[in-house]
Amino acid sequence: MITFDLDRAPLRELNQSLHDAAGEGDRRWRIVNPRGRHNIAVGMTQALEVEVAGHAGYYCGGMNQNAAITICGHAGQGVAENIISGRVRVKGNASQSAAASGRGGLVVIEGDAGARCGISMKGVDIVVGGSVDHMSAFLAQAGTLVVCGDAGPDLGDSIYEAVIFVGGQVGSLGADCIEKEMTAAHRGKLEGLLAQAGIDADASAFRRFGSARKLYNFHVDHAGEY
Amino acid sequence: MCGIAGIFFKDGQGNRPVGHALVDMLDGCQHRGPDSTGFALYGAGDDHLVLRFLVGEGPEREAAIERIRSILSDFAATPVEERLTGVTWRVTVAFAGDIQAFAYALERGAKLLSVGRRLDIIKDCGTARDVDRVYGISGINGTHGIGHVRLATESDVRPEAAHPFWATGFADVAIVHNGQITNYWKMRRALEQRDFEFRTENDSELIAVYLADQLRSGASLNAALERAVEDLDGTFSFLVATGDGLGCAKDKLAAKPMVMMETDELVAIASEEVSLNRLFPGRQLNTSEPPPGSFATWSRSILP
Repeated sequence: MITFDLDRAPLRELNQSLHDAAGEGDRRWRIVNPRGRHNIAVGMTQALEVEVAGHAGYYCGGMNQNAAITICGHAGQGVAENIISGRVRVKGNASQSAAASGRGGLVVIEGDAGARCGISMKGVDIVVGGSVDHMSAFLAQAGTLVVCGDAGPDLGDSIYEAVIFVGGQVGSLGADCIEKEMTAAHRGKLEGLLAQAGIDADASAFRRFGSARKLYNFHVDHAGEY
Repeated sequence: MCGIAGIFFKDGQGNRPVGHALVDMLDGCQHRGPDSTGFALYGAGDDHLVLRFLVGEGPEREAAIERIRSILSDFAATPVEERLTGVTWRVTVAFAGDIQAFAYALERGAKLLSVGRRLDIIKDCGTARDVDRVYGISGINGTHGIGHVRLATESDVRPEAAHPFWATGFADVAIVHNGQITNYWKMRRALEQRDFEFRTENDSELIAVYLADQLRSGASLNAALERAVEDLDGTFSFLVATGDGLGCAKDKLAAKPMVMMETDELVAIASEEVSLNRLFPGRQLNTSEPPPGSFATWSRSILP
């Protein structure tokens, strides 16, 4: 395992080293003394295993492709924003806008996530072990958001074709978001995601939410909802 | 953008390293605001009133001080101790009258940065380290304090436009704010109709005066903040300090960041975790993020 100490070398050097890592040799990196610094391990393209030993600041693991990043602490705003593929795991809590605009891959937050988790998600799968705050999955286009705890107000506002599973209570649903039937196929998909995320939860206790598809085309009866 | 930081030592001893902590915390988030830096520092205080004015450095300085002296004499406020530092003049006076009328009058002499028995606001252009070098912030001890690094967006880069803002007319109330209040003029007019005077066009001054007005009417800091979250429209994460307390509030959309950390000894709040990390080097902190639309207050448990 390669250890990189952010108290001893600047962040740019870390990210450059991660981008330049040779195709062979040790593929496991450990980043110590992150101290809430922003932009740790962003823009990864290689299939490295990166462990952040502490709390990360904003945008950790942003734009990730192929790498498996584990944050052994809390994460600041926009963790794994625009993730393309690979996996980002937060052992603690995540701040606002976790996995924002994510296009693919898996983001696991073992604790709680703040407001706007999965905002404008475009294909990423997100599994939150705890709860999410208001306006999560706002404008969510594709992918799956799994919330094992509760969801705050205005869940799934203006949602497109993303799917939301919630195990606990929902504060309120946003415009055009409705509860939908939980079929065996949906339960199977949820069980698969929980297993991938390594989170122990009873899939039968979850409810499914998605788009009522009333805001797709302008209709004067819905003018008040736009 | 802008960055805010606050620290509150719960034991109320006036010898805690408040200045040092704030310089460190603001240096940690200087990337959020490189233009100017300010500190509202609270000490143990005594019966005297501490006034700090912006007097400049050039030939205008002596004239400003003369104008202030004349107003002080009109109010029978006798200077006890005075000191010129950087672009400011700090004077302590013995005064027992109406602070609001006194402050409004003094503002005609020179820009008044703060008035308080415990509070002293120091702010200037430059970084936290720059301001520390000129004003010796690191050496100032006290009970609590708040600070701000500014990225000017809607007014000039001048010391008077920097934070913290004193609640003009109310001793010992100060604020640092990250965000923008969109119903500023509506709220300001409502207060002006009640004869409050505003000395800047900065929305943060409004929050300070609005809160101080409620405190004077007998509301607790907690109750004042509860109302503020309802009344203020816009984006905000702000810290407010009084002679013996600290409060924080966040707008309902949580558009502006705020992270906090509390131990048995202290409460530290900042825009970003990087600032909190400066206080506890080498430790893994368990920080938390106040939820949208929330507020909290702390006050001294032991009164000296």
